[in-house]
Amino acid sequence: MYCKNDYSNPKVYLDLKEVSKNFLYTNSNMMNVVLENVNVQILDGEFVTIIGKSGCGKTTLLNIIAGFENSFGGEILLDGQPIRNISPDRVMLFQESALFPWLTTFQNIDVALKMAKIPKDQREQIIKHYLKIVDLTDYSDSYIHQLSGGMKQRVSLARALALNPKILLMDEPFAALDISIKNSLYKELLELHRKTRKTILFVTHNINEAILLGDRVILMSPKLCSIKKEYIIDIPKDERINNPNIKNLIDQITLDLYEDE
Amino acid sequence: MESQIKSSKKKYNLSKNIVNKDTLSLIVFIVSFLALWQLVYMLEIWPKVSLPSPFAVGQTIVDLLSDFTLVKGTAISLWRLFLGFLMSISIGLIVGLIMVKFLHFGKTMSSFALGLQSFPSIAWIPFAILLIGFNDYGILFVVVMSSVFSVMLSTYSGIQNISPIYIKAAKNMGAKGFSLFRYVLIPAATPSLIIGMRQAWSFAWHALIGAEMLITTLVGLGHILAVGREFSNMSQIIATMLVIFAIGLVFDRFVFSKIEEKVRDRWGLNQQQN
Repeated sequence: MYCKNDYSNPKVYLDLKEVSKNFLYTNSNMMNVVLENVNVQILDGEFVTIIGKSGCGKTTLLNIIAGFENSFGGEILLDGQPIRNISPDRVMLFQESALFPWLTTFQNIDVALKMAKIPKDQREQIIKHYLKIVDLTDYSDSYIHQLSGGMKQRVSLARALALNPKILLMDEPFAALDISIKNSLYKELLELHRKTRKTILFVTHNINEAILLGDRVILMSPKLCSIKKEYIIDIPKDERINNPNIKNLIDQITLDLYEDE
Repeated sequence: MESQIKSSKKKYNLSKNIVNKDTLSLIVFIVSFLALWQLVYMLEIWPKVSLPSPFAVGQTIVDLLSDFTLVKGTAISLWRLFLGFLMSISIGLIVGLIMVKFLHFGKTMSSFALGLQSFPSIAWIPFAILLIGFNDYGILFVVVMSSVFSVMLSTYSGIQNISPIYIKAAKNMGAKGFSLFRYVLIPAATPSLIIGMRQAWSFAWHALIGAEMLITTLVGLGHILAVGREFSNMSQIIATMLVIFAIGLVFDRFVFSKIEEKVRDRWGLNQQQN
């Protein structure tokens, strides 16, 4: 499967082969199968959204790709190389922004670059560049608690992009935000994607969001512990709002989502 | 422009009002306290020999200051306090970090430390006298034993209680080992560390005066108290008590409170409801 979008080249960037994950309960002999036989190929520059009911393993899958879960079955290749541990190659954005409250906006991005061992003479330029991209230059000396929820996620985005990762993993980053803020963040995120051509994996439980943002939507099922269906969305992103085909797709996915019940 | 000046003037007046109210109530409090004291003295609820008047104590303070006893005593006591406090911080931080690194040791040690944290500081003195000596080092030993566990525990729990998401994010960005420690663990644990240090300071001060009173070969504020008792000089005793009280207050209010405020401000923990 590939996307006919104009801003991704059909090179397989992230390849998941027969990925599975079990959680063992230490007290009993029970085992909880969360993922089983997950096979999917993400293309370079593709924006893929993942939806599914609670317990379908979407967050676990993201954690495995990021390296937060070390043991899993199967194989994951990024740009041809098997993934190893945690790395700034695969940066994750969380629902609650993991910005450091003891630092200012500028310092938060700075410390990220320090940890990624970027030399000092390059850091300031990089920080200023990405702050400009997310339109928060005026807030570079504010402390995190002075920022709104939406602003915090924008700083998190800037920080993630400043690390120049190979893939951006986003775990319901907008779930806790107001709908008006969400809408402006969608625009911003899509614009960023268009500019930077980053490969993005975006997990959400919001079908609207998944369809508005994704080149491709992957539906996962807790019953299968795997991917149930994939939907490629050919409609250009700026034409998706109030589009009747999109509305049909929303209905279709909703149906598929609740089919097992 | 004019309205800006007006509103800033208004702000200034308002804050002046608040300052005035606070200082006013403080002055009223102190004056009432002194008046009550004078009343108790004049009514001879305790014999005049046992409880001197505030004026007599005031005079004693002046005397003790002019012959430098108070100055010397304060200086020596504070010197011991700084030394002991510094030692407590160093040992407490290091052991606290070891506790975090080796979790089994950490768990056992924390129960041990909790018990010792509330151990009466005076009860260390006989042990210190026999083991270390009836000298400065004995006093320092008591001071350290009374305060080190606060630092240890606050370091341990401070780091243990760091929101795991900060550590997750930091590791994601490539931090490990020392850089994780330096860029995340210590800054994230700072609010807890400061609270621990504040408590350690307070315990150290308590322990110090007690130790100075009983290990009396050397000068210090506690020593002055002990001498006052020897010579039944109540004025001297009360005067010294006031100095001890003042020092404790000054350090807590103008040093530790300020530092804690600053950290809480930065973290946004001081959100006020209007």
